[in-house]
This record gives sequence, structure tokens and C-alpha cells, in this order.
Amino acid sequence: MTINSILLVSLLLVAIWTVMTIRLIRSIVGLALTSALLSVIMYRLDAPLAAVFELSVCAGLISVIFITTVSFTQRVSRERLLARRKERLKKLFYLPFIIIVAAFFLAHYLKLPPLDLGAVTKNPEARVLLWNLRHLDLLGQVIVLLAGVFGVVVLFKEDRS
Amino acid sequence: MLNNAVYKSCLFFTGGAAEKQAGTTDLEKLGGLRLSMPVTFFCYLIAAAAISGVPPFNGFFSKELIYGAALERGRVFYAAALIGSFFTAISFLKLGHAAFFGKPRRERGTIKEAPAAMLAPMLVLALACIFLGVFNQPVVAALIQPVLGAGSQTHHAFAMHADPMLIVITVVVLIAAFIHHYVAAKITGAGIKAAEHIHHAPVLSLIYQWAEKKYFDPYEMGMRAMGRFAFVLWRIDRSIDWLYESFIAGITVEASRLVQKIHAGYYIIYVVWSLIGAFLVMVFALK
Amino acid sequence: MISSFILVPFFLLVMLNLPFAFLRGRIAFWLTGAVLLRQVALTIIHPWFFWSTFLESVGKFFAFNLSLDALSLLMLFTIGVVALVSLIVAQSTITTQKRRFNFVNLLLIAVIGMNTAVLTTDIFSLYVFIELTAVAVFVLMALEQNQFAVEGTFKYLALSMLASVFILASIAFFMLVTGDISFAGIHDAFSVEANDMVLRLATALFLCGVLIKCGLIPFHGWVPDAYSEAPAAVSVLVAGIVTKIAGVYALLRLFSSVFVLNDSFRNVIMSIGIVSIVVAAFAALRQGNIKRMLSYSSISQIGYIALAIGCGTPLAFLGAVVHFFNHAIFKSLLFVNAASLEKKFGSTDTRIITGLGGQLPVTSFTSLVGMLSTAGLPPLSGFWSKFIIIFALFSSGRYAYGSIALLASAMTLAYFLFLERSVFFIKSEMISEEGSGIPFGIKFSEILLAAIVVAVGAGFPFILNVALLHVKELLR
Repeated sequence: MTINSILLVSLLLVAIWTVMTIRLIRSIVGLALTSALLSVIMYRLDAPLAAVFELSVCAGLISVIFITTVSFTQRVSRERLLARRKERLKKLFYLPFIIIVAAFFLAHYLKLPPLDLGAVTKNPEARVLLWNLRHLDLLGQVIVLLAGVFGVVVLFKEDRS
Repeated sequence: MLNNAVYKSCLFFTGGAAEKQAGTTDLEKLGGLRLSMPVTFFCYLIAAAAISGVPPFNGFFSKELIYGAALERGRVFYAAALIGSFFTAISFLKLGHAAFFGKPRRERGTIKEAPAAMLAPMLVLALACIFLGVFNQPVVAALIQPVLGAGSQTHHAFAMHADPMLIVITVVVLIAAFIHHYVAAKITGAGIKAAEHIHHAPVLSLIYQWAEKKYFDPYEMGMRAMGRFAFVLWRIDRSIDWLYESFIAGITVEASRLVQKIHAGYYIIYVVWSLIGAFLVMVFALK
Repeated sequence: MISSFILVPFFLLVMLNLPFAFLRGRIAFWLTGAVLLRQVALTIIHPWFFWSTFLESVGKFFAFNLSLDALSLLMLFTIGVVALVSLIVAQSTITTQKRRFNFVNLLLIAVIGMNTAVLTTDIFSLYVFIELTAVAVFVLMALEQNQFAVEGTFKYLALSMLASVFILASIAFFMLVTGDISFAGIHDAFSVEANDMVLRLATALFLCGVLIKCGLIPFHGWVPDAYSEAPAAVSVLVAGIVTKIAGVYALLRLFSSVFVLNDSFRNVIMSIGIVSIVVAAFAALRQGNIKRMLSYSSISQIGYIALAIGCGTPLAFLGAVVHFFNHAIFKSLLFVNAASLEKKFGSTDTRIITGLGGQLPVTSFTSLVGMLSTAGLPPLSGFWSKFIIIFALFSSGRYAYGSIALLASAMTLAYFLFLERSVFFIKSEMISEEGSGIPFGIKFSEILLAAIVVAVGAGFPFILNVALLHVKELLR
């Protein structure tokens, strides 16, 4: 098995663990780990720029925001958490099978031609990309982050009065 | 059509005014309104006369035109038109007698005339009946003729046809209707019963029963059909929901109980719907 | 200066969040109101204000590639009006000042997102700013933090994430085929090889994502809960403009002039449209809660827009755009009515609230205007858009779709009349506990929106020639 396959499978496993674990803090760690694995995969696919951003934003910044959010929440009893997980499992476990079967069906049915990666491998420099081509999106992303933080503060911070 | 709009609306206004003031449209309970609601009565008289085709109101002129055309087509149509006219006259005589004449069922003092806002349109339409009747020629020339075009065949027929025989027959029919009503009212003792015998006529009674059951009313029939149709669809919709929920519950026994306990589970159904929808879109759009 | 639509609200947002206490009060409301009013005014009066010279120099620094065409202008106008109404309603219905301030901030973020989304010419930017609006709306919906609101938010969140997956996958595929993912670039890719499987797959994926955002059947699961559980002012915003810009605008822009659709695509879009119209109409009939009923009615009306877009002729596109605008106005109006009912009686359950016509004259009259417009009665605005859509369907030969759409219109009238009668016109046994009237703000917004509905309906030929026909040039 190639390293890519190992990485993908472990990505999947870590993601499942993130969803199924009962402690929120562990989920956040799992999310960061998923992002880290994803950034490694990106690096191996010849996209170092994306890998750097993935790592810094998702595994770094987002985890900080998540941990701040969780610090505003209260603990839930262990029995309830276990009950929640059990019921989540029962509801969700058939879903991946359906998706995989449907994806196979579609792949056969659609007969996708082999993909030509020529158009995208000509990567401009990071500076050019961010500041000349995509500066509107940059503004958007900044506002999204602000909005997210704002949302956390609005929804989770308790009124001190 | 124009005339029908005018006098029919006027009649409905008078009926509405009577209903508003007396609180009911049941002819059994109404009576003697001509004294307490004189304006309404006046307008009713005019409109009822117009619809029956009494000269010189507008209904007379349009009916004469139709009689003339019907006779051109064939005697059967003419006879049918006359019979219709006869019954129209009888029914409006009955209505007027029952509602406006006779002993008032309530004390006269408690029923007042309708408010001015309701009287105004009634009066306008009644006056229009008179106006369109007396001045029917210019109206027809100005409004109707341009619509029908300069068709040479219709051109000459817009003049009042010179055959006095038809007018005589019409007047005879009207007098016959009046006599019928008068006699029947005398026999049965009240205006409202003047047309009772029709209810017992051989074919007509069956039609009356069906009409009472509203078989002829497309709205009623449509509503009943719609009600059943909507019920069927509601059933289908509920059964689709049931299908999904029992599919999930079919995997384990306890899941259904837990689904009911905790709200958040429901969104899975929507996600499943979306995924199925996405699958169908891909299949059908990419053919 | 086009960027001013983005930069002015952003500047206000930054300013409002400076740590000065006096900014937390009414001034936030007035400044935001002024910004939105400016937006509405600018879209009507084209020569830019003198402020624009100052912003020119700022604009050189932020040289965004935005484009303003007839469609964007109409969208900006709609965004301005609905956001303004939502702001006024919020001022009247949200209780604590802190929450009002939060609402204003989030509203500004949402407006920034929507404005940029309609101005951008790049599909990825479109996605980013739609997501920005969605983030602001998630927080807005959960603002009152009761269990139902959070549940509605969560459902919207879950399905929105699914939509993001589809849209991002689609953008990735487009990126794969052509390195340039602006609208022009994608359109060129289609003109090179329209039947390329990857392009069609990307279009289909994007369609799935956008349909979830629109809330059409079978992707509609989040709509009833989200619309009905959100606080009153947020319902107005979401139903009136956010769903539209997030989903329907993308449909309008991309599926008419950027993507090239073949017949099977068109059939799929039209089928989804017609199914949404009919099923949502039937679902609305049985609802006991006003807001849920209005949300199903929204799904139904957006189905009309999808139907028209699927049809593809210029007339149908015009009908879709007009219906977009009309629906934004009259649906917001109906939700403001629901807000006033909620304010007066504390509930939107029709089994409880009956016979209010006498106590709420403005609300009942304007709700009549809104509902008749939804049903498509002349001479209100809804009639014109429905007429154009159905006429376009018939004239392009799609008689089955046209007849079903026509019949569903009768259905719309039925459930609305039923609601009107039971809520407003039956003899009332209900007396409200509070003797207070409806706040002036709510009355004002109701009257404003109703006036727009009537004015657009009555003056439609004029508006058509002045504002709307230019939209047809968008179709290539």
C-alpha cells in the first residue's frame, strides 16, 4: 500500500473518532489531527501552499477558536453523553454505506474520463495569488473569521450583569 | 351581457341590502319590506322588471334582439327563450312578493333602510337600467358595434326590428306570468307559495332536489373533490414520512424510541432526503 | 464606485465595534439604517453621490474586480429594502439593547456578504461570500438561544454544510478543467466543449448545492424549522433575502448565463421546480403555525423561479427575476405581519389566534395585500411575475408544466384565503392581554412593503421598461 492510501485511511479513521468521541475537547484534538493529516496529503500531492494554509488555519487558528468556545460551555453528565453517542451511532452508521454504494454506482454510470491536471499545475506565487488574484476572497475570509468569533461571543458568553 | 351585468348586480345589491338590514335571506322570514326599505324596493322593482324584459327597461331591448335572432334560427329556440322568460318573470314576481309585500314578519320599526353607501350603487345601477333602456340605440352604436366590427350582416339588425308581432308575444308572455302569479298567490294565500307547484312537477322536482344538494354547483363539487384529493395527498405525504422513519427504526428496535426523545435526530432525515435528491439529480442531469 | 457597497458597511462594522460605550445604543440602529437607506437610494438614482470621489482613492487600494449590471442593481435594491425592514422590525421586537446591538452587527456582516455576492464575477468569491452570509445568519437565528431556535439553526447548519461540500467539489472540478474560475472563464470552458463530462458533472454538483441553499424539494428539510423558529426580525431577513441571495441568485446568474445547459439539465431543474410548487402548496394547507405555512409557501414560490430558469427562454428569465424581486418583497411583508402577530399575542399558532381583523387593522390589510400578491391576483405585483412565467412556459411549448403551475396558483390562493379568514376575519373571541398597540416601526415597514407591492403591480409596465428589461441582456 502506498503512503497515500495509509494517510487516507488514517484520515478517515481519525475523522470517525472525532465524530464519535464523547468528550468535546477530544473532538477538537481530533479535528486538528485530521487537518494535519490532510495537509500532509496535500503536500504529497504537490501543493505545498495549500498544505501550509491548511495546517496554520485549520489545525491552528480554528482549534484555538474551538477551544475558546468550549471553554464557555458546561459539562454534561457521562451517562447522557454515552446515550447520545449510542443513538448517534444507530442513526448514522448506515449512511456511509449508502454514500459509498451510490458513489460506485455513479462512477460506473458516468464513465468519467481520466482527469487532465494540466490546467492547474501552473501555480502562481503565493503573494500574487493572495494579493492580486484573490484579495476579495481574503477580505471575505477575514470577515468570516470575525463573524465566527463574534458569533461565539454572542452565543456563548454569559451576561455578566 | 352589458345589460345582464347592470341589472343582475343591481338585484344582488338589493338582496344584500335586505340581508344586511333584516339579518336573513330566508324568504319565509322576510316580508313587507317595501314600507321599511322603500329605496331598496324601488331599485328591486326596476331591476326585476329589467331582467324579466319589461319595456322600457334595458332588458326588454336586449331580449328582443335575442328573440329576433332565435326566431331566425328556428322556432324551437324562440319557444325556449319565451319559456325561459316566462319562468324568469314568475320567479321574480314571487321573490318580490315574498320579500317586499305581505305582512311584515317583524315590527316595522326594527328594520331601517340600508345605509347610504349601499343605496348609492343600487340607485346608480337602477338608473342605468332605465338609461340603457331608453337610450339603447346610441349605447349600442357606441359600445357594441365597434366590437363586432362592420360585419354587414349584423349591421341592419341593430335597428329595432319592425316586426310588432314579437313585441306583442313578449307582452302576452309577461301578462301571462303576472296572471299566473296573481292566481297562484290567491290560491295558496301567500306570495312565497305561488311557485310551489313547480316543485312537484314530474321532471323538475328531481332537478330541484339535485340543486338543493348542490350537485349543480361547480364550486361545491370542486370543493368536495379537492377535499378528498387533498386528503389523499396528505395521506401519501404522511406515509412517505412514515416510510423513512420506520426504515430507520427497522434497523434497531430502540432507535425509534430514542428518536422521539431527542429532537436533534430528525435532521438526519433531511440529510438523507438531500442525498437522495442529489443522487437523482446527478443521474438524470448527466444522462 | 461599486466597492462602496462593500466598504461602507464594513467601515461601519469596524466603527461600531470600537470600545466606546455610546456606540452600543440607538446610534447603531440609526447609522445602520442610514447605510442601508443609502444603498436603496443609490440603486434607484444612478449618478453616484459626491462621497464617491473620496472613496475612489480608497478604491484604488482595494481594487476588486466587481461588476454591476442590471441584475446586480436589482439585487442590491432588494437587499437594501429587506435589510432595512428587518432592522426596523428588530428594533421593535428584540428586547435587550445588547441583543439589538448584536443583531445590528450581524446584520451588517450579512449585508456585506450579500452585497459582495451579487457584485462578484468569480464563482469562488460567490461561494465565500454566500458562506459569510450563512455564518452571520446562523448566529442570528440562534440569537434568542431557546431550544427551538437552536434546533432550527442546527438543521440549517447541517444542510448548509452539505451544500458547501457539493459546491466546493463542483468548483474543484471547474478548476480542474480551466484554471480560471471567473464567470467568463467558465463560460469559455463551456464554449470550447460543452459536452465534456467533467463540466457537466461539476454543473450537476453545483446544482445540488445550490438547490439545498434555495430550499427546494427534496432539499428543503431545513426551511420550515429554520424560518419558523427564528426570531421575528431574523425570519424576515432570512425568508426575504438571505435564501434568495444564497441560493436563487446563484441559480439566476449561473444557470442562465454562465453554464450551458442541455435538455436533461433543464428537465431536471423544471421537474424540481414543479414538484416544489405542488408539494409545498399541499404541505402549506395543513399547517397550524403561520410561520411554517409561510415557509412552505416560500418553497412553493421559489419553485416557480426554478421552473422559469429551467425553461431558459429570455421571457422566462425575465419572469424569474421579477418573481425574485416580488417574492422578496411580499414574503418579507408576510413575515413582518407574523412578527406583529407574535408581538401582540406571543404566538403564531393559528389554532390559538383567530379573528384579529379589528384589533390589528394595518396588519390585516397589509397581510391581505401580501397574500393576494403571492397568489397572483391582479393588479398586484405577484400577478405580473406569475403571468410572465406561465406565459413563457406556454409559449415555449411546455404546456404540462404551465398548466400545473397555473393550477398550483389556485392552491396558493386557497391556503392563503383559509389562513386570512381564520386569523383575521372570523368573529373574534380573543382579546389580547396587553393593551399596547403594535410598535410604529412594524406598522411602518408593513405599510412600506405593501406600498411597494401595490406600486410595482399597478405601475408594472413602467417599471418593466425602465428597470427590468435590461436584465434580458444578461442571457447569452
